Amino acid sequence: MTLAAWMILVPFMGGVACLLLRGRAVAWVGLAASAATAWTCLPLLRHVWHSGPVRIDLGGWAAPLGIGLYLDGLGAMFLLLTAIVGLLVGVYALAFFGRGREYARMEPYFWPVWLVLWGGLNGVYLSVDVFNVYVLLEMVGLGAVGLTVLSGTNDSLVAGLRYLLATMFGSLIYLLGVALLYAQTGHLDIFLLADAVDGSLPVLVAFGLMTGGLLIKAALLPFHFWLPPAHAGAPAPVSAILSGMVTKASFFLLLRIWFVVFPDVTAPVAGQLLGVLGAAAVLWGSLQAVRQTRLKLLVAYSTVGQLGYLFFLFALLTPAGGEAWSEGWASMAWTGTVFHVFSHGLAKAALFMAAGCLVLAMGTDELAAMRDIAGRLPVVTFTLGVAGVSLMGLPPSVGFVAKWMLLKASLASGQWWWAVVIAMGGLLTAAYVFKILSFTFVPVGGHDANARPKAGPKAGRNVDQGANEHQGPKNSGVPELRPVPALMTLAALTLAALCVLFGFRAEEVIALLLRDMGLEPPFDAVLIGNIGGDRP
Amino acid sequence: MTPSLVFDLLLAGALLLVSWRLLQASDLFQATVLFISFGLFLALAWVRLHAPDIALAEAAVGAGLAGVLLFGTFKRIEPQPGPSSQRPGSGDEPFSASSCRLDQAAACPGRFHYLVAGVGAATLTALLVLAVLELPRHGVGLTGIVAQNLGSSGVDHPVTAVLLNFRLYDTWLELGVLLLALMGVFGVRGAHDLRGLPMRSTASPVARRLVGLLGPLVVLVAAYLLWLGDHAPGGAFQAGVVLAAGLVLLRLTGLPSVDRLPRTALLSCVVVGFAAILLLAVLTTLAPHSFPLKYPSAWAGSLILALEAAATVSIGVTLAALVALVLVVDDQ
Repeated sequence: MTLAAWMILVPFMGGVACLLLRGRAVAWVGLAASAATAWTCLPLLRHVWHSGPVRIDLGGWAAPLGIGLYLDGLGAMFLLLTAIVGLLVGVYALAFFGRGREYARMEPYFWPVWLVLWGGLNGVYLSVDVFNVYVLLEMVGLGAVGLTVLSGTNDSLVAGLRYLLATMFGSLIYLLGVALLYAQTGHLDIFLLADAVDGSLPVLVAFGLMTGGLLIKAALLPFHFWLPPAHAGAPAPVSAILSGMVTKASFFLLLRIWFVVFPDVTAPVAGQLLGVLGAAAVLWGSLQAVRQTRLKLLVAYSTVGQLGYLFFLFALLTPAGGEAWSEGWASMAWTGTVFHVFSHGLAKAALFMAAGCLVLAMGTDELAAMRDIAGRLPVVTFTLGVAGVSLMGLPPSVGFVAKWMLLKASLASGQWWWAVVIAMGGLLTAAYVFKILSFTFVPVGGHDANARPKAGPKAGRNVDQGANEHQGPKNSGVPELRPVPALMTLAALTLAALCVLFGFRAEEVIALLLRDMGLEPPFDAVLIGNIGGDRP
Repeated sequence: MTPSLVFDLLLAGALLLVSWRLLQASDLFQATVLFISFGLFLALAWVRLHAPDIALAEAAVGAGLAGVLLFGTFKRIEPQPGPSSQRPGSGDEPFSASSCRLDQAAACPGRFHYLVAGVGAATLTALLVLAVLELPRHGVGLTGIVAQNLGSSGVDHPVTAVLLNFRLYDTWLELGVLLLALMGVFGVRGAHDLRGLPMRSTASPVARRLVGLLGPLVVLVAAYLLWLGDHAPGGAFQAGVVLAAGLVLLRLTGLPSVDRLPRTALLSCVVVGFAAILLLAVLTTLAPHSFPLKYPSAWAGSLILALEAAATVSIGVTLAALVALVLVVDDQ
């Protein structure tokens, strides 16, 4: 079954082709490579669904000597997410970079870097070798930095450099852990390592280092400092790639490290620590998002908050060593977390893409400048709303399934405090989503009922002037909107719509995910919603 | 106490001393020089650990090219002395030529940062020392398995066998990382080639003559290192770095180098290493009864040499291009 290898080869081939081509051909070839990658993903998914995990020994060398590619249900979910978001980002980028000289300048660099980065991401989801993972992390990290600095502005360079230093530091810490682990056990393959690790000091230190390095790259709370400026400062398609996909790669590796390599040496307190950091990220990131006055920074801080939810899994599954696996909530926690990865990946990419449409139309991403957007750009506003609904976790979106499962799992496991954080995070998310939406409904000219009497007209004029500075001279009143290519709005809308559609197809996803882990799918939890601690 | 132990202790002491002085340095120029000497000491340490491959790479990349990059950056951010400063606002500061001070930078770390970093580093060091002392005395690595399979790998040197056969996938991805690094810089610059860079002022005839003599020698050494990898320490990375050094020398003396290559030629050189392994991967994935990246056993040796040659060109041109991009300011 060599399809898994094509998931890496196809984007790489596209990247090399894009590098050597010129002009608009770059974009079309890039889009074709994106479509081919996404198309390769489907039969691969079907194969994993029917015949279980796939393994390929690269170069024909079996595990201790060579490097293996391995795909199970979990990896397939991440591959699928990347394929969906990647394809739609490609469609969006085709229109985004095709609009004028300043954007066309970035096009020949965006496509090769993004396609090689995509191959690296797919490689991460297929890798079972801890050193190979390091190389892939370097590839993903450098590719992401290269995309961040694409616009070449001063702010993006500063953000990109900070991102580079943080991600390199994380990689090196991780590599130190790998070196210790190899010196102690003599293996690099995760399944061989799983049999070889014991509770000795080198193994524990290696575990701590690898986790720490990946946490920096996953931007968990104290290490989130690099994320908002980098994600907010990049061009819109890049923001969607970074927030929707790149942050998930490090999280995926944390799952592999914690639950495949070191399940027997993880102490409950370590799991609780990650949970607490995740909870702090949810609250702090969402609060910061509410406070922002610029749309892209708001969405970027929302990423800090939403990533926090993912780390409850570690707290929920580590209390009893490996024993938590047999409990009923294990499958719910897994399902909830992976659904959250999906929900956040789709919704956040949709949000950044819609934000890109708004910036293009208005010339600025100041929230206060978004006057009467709902009336003039209804599709973009609708996209913002639908993606926001999924982020908040309202039914019938996939975000609802995710948060509902996580809530149930934390209650069933007796760790009710996570449920409190999930609920509060949901409220804060609602606050910032409604903050965006409320600005889009403010009518033009400052005659809105919400404006305070004394500040109303004056503030309105200031805002208009602020918007006009970016727009060029305008006589008065409403800043005119520049046209937005239909392809861009449609790509964003499709992603937002998928957030809802995946909510309806939860069962298949859960079955694919859990079978390889030997867990029983909690179907009734989705369909009926009455699952509790008394599950047989 | 044997002489070698004395040497090792001196070397370890020198490494610590240099790194401590580096942290203490308030002057960027001094810090750069100390960083380069740190790299050279580190290369010596690798020699003592019987890893000449890594020693070569460390000396060439860690000390050599990284040093050149740091010097180039230093020149770029150094305050312009004298009244003929081009940039307004930077000339009236009473700085001397080498007083680009770390502790006057805008985002200067304070005592608190030093304290946190120090405590963190000390804890990590203590944990690492304890962990390393507990490691198994005799190596448990894969050396034995590598030796067993060396016969069917196509080469006679275990390091080359691991890099170009057993773990070719990693090497391939590393070439991709190098490619991404250059693409990132090109993206910021907004051009796919180096022809827009200002021409170097022509160096003295002696230097030009010398570099002209060195040029063929560099190619010879690179080719020798490449061929050596088959059965001794050496190979694509070392050869590529030597090639890069030669190209940088050419560029510095104003002789034709990477900056004269047209876009297609430059990009082809940069991508050829990555693309060659990609081609192998595609063909072996398509072939029936084969594994991705598996060499046909009869051709393993020659294919490895071909891939290494392609990788050498890529590494050399990419590194030289990166250096040329940083060193451009000297002329302005």
